[in-house]
Amino acid sequence: MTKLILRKLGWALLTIAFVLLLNFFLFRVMGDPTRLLKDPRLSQATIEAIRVRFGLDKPVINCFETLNPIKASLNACGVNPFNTQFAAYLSNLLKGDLGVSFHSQRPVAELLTERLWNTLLLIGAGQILAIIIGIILGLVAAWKARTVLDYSALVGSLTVWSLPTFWLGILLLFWGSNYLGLPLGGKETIGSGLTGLKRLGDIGTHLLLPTLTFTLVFIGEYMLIMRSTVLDVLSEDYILTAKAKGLSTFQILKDHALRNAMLPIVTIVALNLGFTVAGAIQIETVFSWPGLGLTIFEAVGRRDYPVLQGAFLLLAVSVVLANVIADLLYTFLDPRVRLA
Amino acid sequence: MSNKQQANLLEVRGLTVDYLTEKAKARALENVSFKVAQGSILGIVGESGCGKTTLMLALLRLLPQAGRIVAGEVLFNGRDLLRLSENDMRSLRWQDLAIIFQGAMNALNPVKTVEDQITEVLLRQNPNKTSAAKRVDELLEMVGIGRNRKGQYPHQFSGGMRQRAMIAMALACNPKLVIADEPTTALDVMVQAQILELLLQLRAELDLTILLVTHDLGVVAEVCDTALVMYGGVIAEHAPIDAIFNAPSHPYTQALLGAFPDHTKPKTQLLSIPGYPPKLDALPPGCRFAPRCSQVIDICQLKTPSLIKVSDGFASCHLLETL
Repeated sequence: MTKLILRKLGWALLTIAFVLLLNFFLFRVMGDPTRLLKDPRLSQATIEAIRVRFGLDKPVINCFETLNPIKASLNACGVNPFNTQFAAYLSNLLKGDLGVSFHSQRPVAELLTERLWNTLLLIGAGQILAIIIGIILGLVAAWKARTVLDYSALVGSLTVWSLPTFWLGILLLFWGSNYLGLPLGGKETIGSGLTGLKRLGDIGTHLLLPTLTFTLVFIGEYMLIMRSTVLDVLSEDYILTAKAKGLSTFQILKDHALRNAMLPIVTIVALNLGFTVAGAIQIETVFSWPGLGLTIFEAVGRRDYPVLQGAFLLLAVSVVLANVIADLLYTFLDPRVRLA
Repeated sequence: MSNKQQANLLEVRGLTVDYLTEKAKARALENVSFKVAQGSILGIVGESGCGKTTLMLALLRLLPQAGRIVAGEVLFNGRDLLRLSENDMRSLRWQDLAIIFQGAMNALNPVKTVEDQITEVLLRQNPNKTSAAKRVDELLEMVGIGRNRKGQYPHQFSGGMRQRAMIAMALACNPKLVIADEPTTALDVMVQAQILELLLQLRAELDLTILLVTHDLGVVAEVCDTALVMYGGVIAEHAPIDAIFNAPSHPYTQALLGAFPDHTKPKTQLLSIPGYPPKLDALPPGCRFAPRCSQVIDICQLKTPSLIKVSDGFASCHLLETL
């Protein structure tokens, strides 16, 4: 068991290492970002100073000559490999330094951590609701397969699933703010000076509409997958055994069908975490929710490379972590995987 | 072994089951009637699709959604199971009527330990966990599974062990009637023999009544007291085991025996029965076996034969009426 966990973690680390490489070069192939500084008031000297400040004056990497075993010498092409952008990138990363935002001049790590919590709050609330409601709906629909209940759950799920996220968000925003007096956007009322429980309540009302949008968008997927999986499971021999054992419907669903049907759901949830952030970009933009998605959206517009680079790394790491967790949950849920 | 004086534990009268498909209605069982004496073993034999499994599921009222019991009575200890409410039926399942599915296949839940799956039924009766744990040990010992293996999952068991675990599970609540659905299919002959031995031994110890569904005549010959030969959803012949093997009345029983190797006689030619069992949604008029019967006479094509008393048992064949 421990060996299995270590192996999974090893693979995860390897994946992250690869992501680190890709992430670095992805933003270097776009060229020198100081080219984009078009403000005529900036002198060449100032631009040069900015380049030095952000380390853009150094070579991206050492030349490939250093890798040649015959000429092996660290200074093969007159460049100190430790004095490159790549070396700086790695050593800064190890120190937890993701650079400084071009736009706000704040450390990227600090900015992203702050935004990440907001996104996690939104995703957490939305996903948990979607998972719980979706799973229950799917389970009931499968148990009552081919009845009015099943068909209405099916049609409803397909409908909300196919709605464009931003469009649903805008509709809900309009409806919620117009008829229910819910806030138009943001995370909390700025300058309200609320503290403690009142502040939490204020955040809650701001969270309501984005969470609702999020939940609606994801419910359909979970419901549909759950329904088809449970239908499969219910036709298994061991369900007939459970019925013959005189177990109640609830016991059969809870103890025999659910656990077997959870395996695909766990996979989907883990894979979704990556897509979730994409979904969150739309929702956060519509509701001006100061999360990671909105940050990415804004950083793209401002060509704020350090922020983008940091955000991408964060997303990649969270997807890899989610997959590791899914793998481990899998071994917990399915004893057959445990020994494999 | 079976005592003629003893009361019948199970009596089935005129059981008729339909399967409703989108286009047609298939009659899977028609007018099936038989009695099973307390403490006896009844073998139910027939080709695939002759209604063996349907009969067994109908007795427990576990037919799939498309199945409908159209007529009949299933008297268990004098109570008609078909008239019980769903809740009463549920409380009877496993307490009084247990079923042994093919354990080698998927009848055990792959993600629950064997112990959990047995405990589950014990807790229905008595929510005391320590006594349940004790009973699990007892049951596993009875079927010859070491108690150190009870925490394992079905996939860690061999086919024979899974079948044993299934049997242990069926016996958990001391049922009066055990229905065994092909308990030895998909097992090798050695394990098959062990499982049958175990069933016989448990029958003797616990005074079980067993319905053994199988397509293996060898199994029937070895363990059953009486046999029910089914064909196309009806009973072809129902007789004590000696009569079935030594003096079969129905041409189908005769044909089945002809298709079965007899090791006591050297070099006998095995005979196959030409054709296929009838399609249940397009049954032939008259006797269902008529199209494949070698002794067919005119009336067979016209009139359905009824189950009539022959020397030791019952059979449904026009040839026997004319005698």
